[in-house]
Amino acid sequence: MCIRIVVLVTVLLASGVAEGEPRPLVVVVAKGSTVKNLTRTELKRCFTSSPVVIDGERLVPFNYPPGTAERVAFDRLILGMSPEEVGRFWVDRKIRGESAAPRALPSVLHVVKIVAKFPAAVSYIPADQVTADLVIVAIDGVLPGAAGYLLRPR
Amino acid sequence: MRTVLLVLIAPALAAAQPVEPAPPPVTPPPTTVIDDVDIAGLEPSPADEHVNIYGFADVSWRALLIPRSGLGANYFPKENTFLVGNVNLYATKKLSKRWRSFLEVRFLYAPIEKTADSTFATTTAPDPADLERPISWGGISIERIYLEYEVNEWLTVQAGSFLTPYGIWNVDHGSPTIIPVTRPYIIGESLFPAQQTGLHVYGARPVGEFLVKYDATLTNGRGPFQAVRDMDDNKAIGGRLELETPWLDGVHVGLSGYRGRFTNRPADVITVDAAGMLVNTTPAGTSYDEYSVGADVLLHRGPLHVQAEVIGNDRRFRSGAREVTRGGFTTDGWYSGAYVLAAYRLDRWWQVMPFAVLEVDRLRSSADLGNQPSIYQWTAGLNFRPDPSVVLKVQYTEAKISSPTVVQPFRALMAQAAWAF
Repeated sequence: MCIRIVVLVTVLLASGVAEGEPRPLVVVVAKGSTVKNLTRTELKRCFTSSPVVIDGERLVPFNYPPGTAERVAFDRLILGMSPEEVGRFWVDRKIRGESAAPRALPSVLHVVKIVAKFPAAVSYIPADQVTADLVIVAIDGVLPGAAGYLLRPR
Repeated sequence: MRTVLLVLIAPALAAAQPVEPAPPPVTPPPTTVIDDVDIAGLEPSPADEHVNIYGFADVSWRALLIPRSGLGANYFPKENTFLVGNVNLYATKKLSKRWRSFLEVRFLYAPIEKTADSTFATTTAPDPADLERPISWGGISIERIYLEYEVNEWLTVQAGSFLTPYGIWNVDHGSPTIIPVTRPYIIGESLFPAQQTGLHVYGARPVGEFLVKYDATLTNGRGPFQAVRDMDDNKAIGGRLELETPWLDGVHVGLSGYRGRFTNRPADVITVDAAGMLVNTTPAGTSYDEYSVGADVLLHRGPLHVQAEVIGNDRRFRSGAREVTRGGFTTDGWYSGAYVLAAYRLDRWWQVMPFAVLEVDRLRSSADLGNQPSIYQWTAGLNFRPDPSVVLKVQYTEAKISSPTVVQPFRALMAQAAWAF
């Protein structure tokens, strides 16, 4: 009985570790968008609420709620911030009276659908969730799979 | 016992064991699943449905470590004191895609003051809800109120009362966002007006990897009640240019300037002229022309935070409008100061951030402090952030006022809890 409990606990904890593994992310825009490449600086500005205009169109970022695996990975790899730093960053901006954080959507499916609907929308999703309505955007000229792609989990 | 041990080391074992590669994720048929996701109303730039109400507050403890006979004890409360400092409330609303309303008010215990005859005045009134027992009441300070219109991505126009866009500290005026308990002395001296009322245009434009930000203001300028009346018909102008660079993960360099006229005078009076006609007369009062300049640099690289500002103000009283103070006339001249703050945020012990601030100020000559007095000040402390919305601070400050008439040390110990809500 004891051994069975230990095995059960071990399996549960091990499965937790496996679920926590970040999945590779890709930056996406709607099919038909003229955006093919964004620099890390542009992505950082866009997701910290500074205006980024490409070909005359202002990009509208969509994010995930704090603490989700996608959000934590993106904030770390592109913004260079831990979840604690991100929390402080947005509280401080709010107190200064600066513009609000990008809108957070509840799930990857929401992001997929809304990015496909609005030509100016930009977001990031797990690579295995890309649909035919979306186009993957290179970061600093590097596409997913190539060496040096910034959103590859480390 | 063995069971307990196994349970305890299970996570480590699980992490150490090579995890069998997970089967490739099964991508659900997107069209079927996505059709169930409701994105109605999820517009990219929607107006707010409700007013957003939030704010910040702080409570501090302060002890001045100076002899009660020291001159500093005449200027600052010498008893060790708990105090409620800021209680600020924001009400903001995005009215539509391009229009935004912003209000910030500060609740005060004021007016509590030392009167001219050196007694303390407090405000009480009979409380009708409590058998007319005395209740203390206070005031409200309108910190910011403006309407904002975003013309395009690079140009936004504000009309109303706003914080003067200069340097780093004046915009970082919320106690949870600032690192020490108190602002540098030179910031508190308002060499630039802290708030102004009028028009403010601002924007930003990327130039390669750089971002150029600008601000320009046209306002009533400094005055005794600048939010509601310009006493001299002379509008003040100001501006700021900031360069956000990619160097060292992000270095910001800024230059600010301001030019205006201050006027404070008695109210108009009706007199009789030589012809016996009633005429309106405007007394001269006190008036000076001033300009202020400032430069600042901010480096925020990972856990390292360094910021520095240099600020100067030149003041020239107009002919016949010089202010009279204790000991004579107020002088013209140049007032300047500079500080540098360095801090490093650790990722443990409630995200503690040790910090240090050095400051040097060159004051204008005055009857009290003599010719060209100086202030040298240093501060060291800890800033804890146990939660993004909660900041705990403790600091020690030592300063020396040096002038031909006064050499006065100043020491203080302060602690503060500030929070955003």
